[in-house]
Amino acid sequence: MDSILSLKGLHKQYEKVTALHSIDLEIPRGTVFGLLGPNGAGKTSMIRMITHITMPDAGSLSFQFNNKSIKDPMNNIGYLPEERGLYPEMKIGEQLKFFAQMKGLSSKESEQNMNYWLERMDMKDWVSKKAQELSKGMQQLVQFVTCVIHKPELLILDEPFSGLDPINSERLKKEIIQLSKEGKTIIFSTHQMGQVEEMCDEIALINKGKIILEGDLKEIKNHFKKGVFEIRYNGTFPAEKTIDGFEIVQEAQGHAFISCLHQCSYSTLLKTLSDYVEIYSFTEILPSLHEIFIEQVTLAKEKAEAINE
Amino acid sequence: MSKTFIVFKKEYLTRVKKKSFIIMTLLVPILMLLLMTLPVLMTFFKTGTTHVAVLDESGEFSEVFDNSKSLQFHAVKGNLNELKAKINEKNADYQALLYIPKFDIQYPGGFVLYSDKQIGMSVQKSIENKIQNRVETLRFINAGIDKDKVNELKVSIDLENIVLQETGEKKGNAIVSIALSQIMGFFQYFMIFFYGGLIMMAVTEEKKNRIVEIIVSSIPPFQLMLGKIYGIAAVAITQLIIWIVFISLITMFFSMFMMPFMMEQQQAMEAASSIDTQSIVDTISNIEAFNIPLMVFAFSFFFIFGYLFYSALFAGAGAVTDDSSQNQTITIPLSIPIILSLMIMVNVSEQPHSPLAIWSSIIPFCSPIIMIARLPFGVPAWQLILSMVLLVLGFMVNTWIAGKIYRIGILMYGKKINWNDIRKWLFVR
Repeated sequence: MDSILSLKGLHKQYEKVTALHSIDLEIPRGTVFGLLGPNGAGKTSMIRMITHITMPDAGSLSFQFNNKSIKDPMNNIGYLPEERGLYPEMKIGEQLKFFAQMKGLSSKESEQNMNYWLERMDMKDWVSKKAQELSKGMQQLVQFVTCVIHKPELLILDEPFSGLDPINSERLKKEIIQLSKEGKTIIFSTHQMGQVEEMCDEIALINKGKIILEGDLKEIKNHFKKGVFEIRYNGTFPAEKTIDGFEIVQEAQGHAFISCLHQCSYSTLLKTLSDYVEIYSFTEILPSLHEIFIEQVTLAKEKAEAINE
Repeated sequence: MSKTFIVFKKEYLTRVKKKSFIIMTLLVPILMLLLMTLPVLMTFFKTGTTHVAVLDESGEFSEVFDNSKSLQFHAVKGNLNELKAKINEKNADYQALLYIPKFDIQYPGGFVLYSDKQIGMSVQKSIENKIQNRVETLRFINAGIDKDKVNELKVSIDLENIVLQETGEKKGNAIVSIALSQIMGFFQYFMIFFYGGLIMMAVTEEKKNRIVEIIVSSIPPFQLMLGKIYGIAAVAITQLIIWIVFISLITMFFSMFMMPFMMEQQQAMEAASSIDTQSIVDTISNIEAFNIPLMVFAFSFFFIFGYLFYSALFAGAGAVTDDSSQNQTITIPLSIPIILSLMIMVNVSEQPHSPLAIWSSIIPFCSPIIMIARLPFGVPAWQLILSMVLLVLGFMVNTWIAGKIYRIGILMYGKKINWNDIRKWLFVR
């Protein structure tokens, strides 16, 4: 696999808490990678090590960037932390240039990149405004620009949508998708499962410093499917709930949920059902990421309790 | 371009461009100018005359009270109580009534100055002197002594202080040294506090505005801290240079245009009283006796490194706090040596070569203020060099400590940090 970032045995211990237990993780190049987990799971600890803010106690991080001319990996990462802000009394133009130069760009390059992004985000009028004069939503868009202005290959966005109104939220989502199309790798940490399902290709679920689930989002969803189908039909099912290896979980006015009792294929299920009723539509219900998330976290908790006992 | 330099540039430019900086930098020399010219201006605008009625029952004071511009005496006769009542009337001719009763020359007393308001110190003193003089003269006459003869025999002695040095003799002047030492010491004290506070605010502000995480993902915290400390130091130096230039210009202007005027005043005063102008001229010429280049170099050195020494500590302090009320408790241990230095400084000008003065001018916590205060009195080379070396070493140690605290502190939110935590941070990897 072509990874942009490999974590090997990454371990971090705070005084009494182990924030990360020897984590191994590959971030495939060009993907939108969702980093999920409950509060305090170790996501921020992991991100802070990737962004060189803190050092791991053990293990290593290695980056494989395409652009070999950038010596310092810090300069090829764009980071939008959850706790973020701007200098309230500095003009937007000055701030953007400052942040670009902090990422190793020359004064001229930062000016060019700034103009490019101001154009792209339709922010040209904001250049000479102070940050405190902008609304909170506008400030967040500026913050987003500060983390992409140096054109990094790897972007790390920690809860990028928190506090944004639906319009700005949509705008940011479009930008992220666009960046992904441009070949950037995006690590995306959030609690909002809906956005993850919409945008992410790969995910990793962290709980209590361990990765409990990881891989391609579609594969994961397939793996956790329960064999439940939603049908719309005309006619009536027989009174008994179980028919030839299927169970009718719920039915009302031509709308029912059917559950497979054993391994079953779509065709046998369809054939059996059409013996009783006329079928209009037939869909397999895939578990939502939300359900998987809760199920896995609860499972991990039960396991831990079982070990303790 | 190094990232430390980018931070340096940003910290420097945003501060120098601020209105408050420009106002303060210009205001201080203007205030200086005002302070210097105020006494002269005052004489221009001094108006208003105090009229004093004199009720002399003793009959001894008829020629004692001569009138001046600000003080006019009028001899009156009549009943004391009636005259007293007149003072509080709206259109009274007099603001005060001086009552001189018949008095015993051995035990003079009973002199009273009645007035509608509290009378000024100088007026009271001047009347007191006049009465005293007159009573003395009367006593001389009583004792059969010629007062003019006594005045003739009076003498005034000047004690000259020559400081013996290896390079030769130097005329010492305690007053100029003390003044210079206190002014420079106090200035240093003010600058350390002011700019220390500024750096602490700069660190806390970044934390408060939640920018710090973005910044430290671009630049290692230690480099960030250095950029801030140097940036604000450059602001301080800029301000200092502007002040020096302005104050020199003002002094030049002052000596060119104001001095002749002052001299006139001086001569007028001399005619009236007996102030020795020679001593003032001496005082001014004595400033030239100091080794000016050495003083300027040493002052600049202790100013810059004194600031750097403390600013590292203030940066560390700023990093562990995120609201201003907590700031105050954490600055107490930092303020103690600075305030202590100021207290020692007062003592130093009395005894510039006492063991207390010598040691406190060598120990880095006090040396930025004390050594500056000792400079005008002459400091042996070994003490100066030792103090400088220790201050630079102290700065390096402080920066290392502050860097450790800074690295962890700036990412801490909402947790009250105690000294025990800080001690632990110093020894983590």
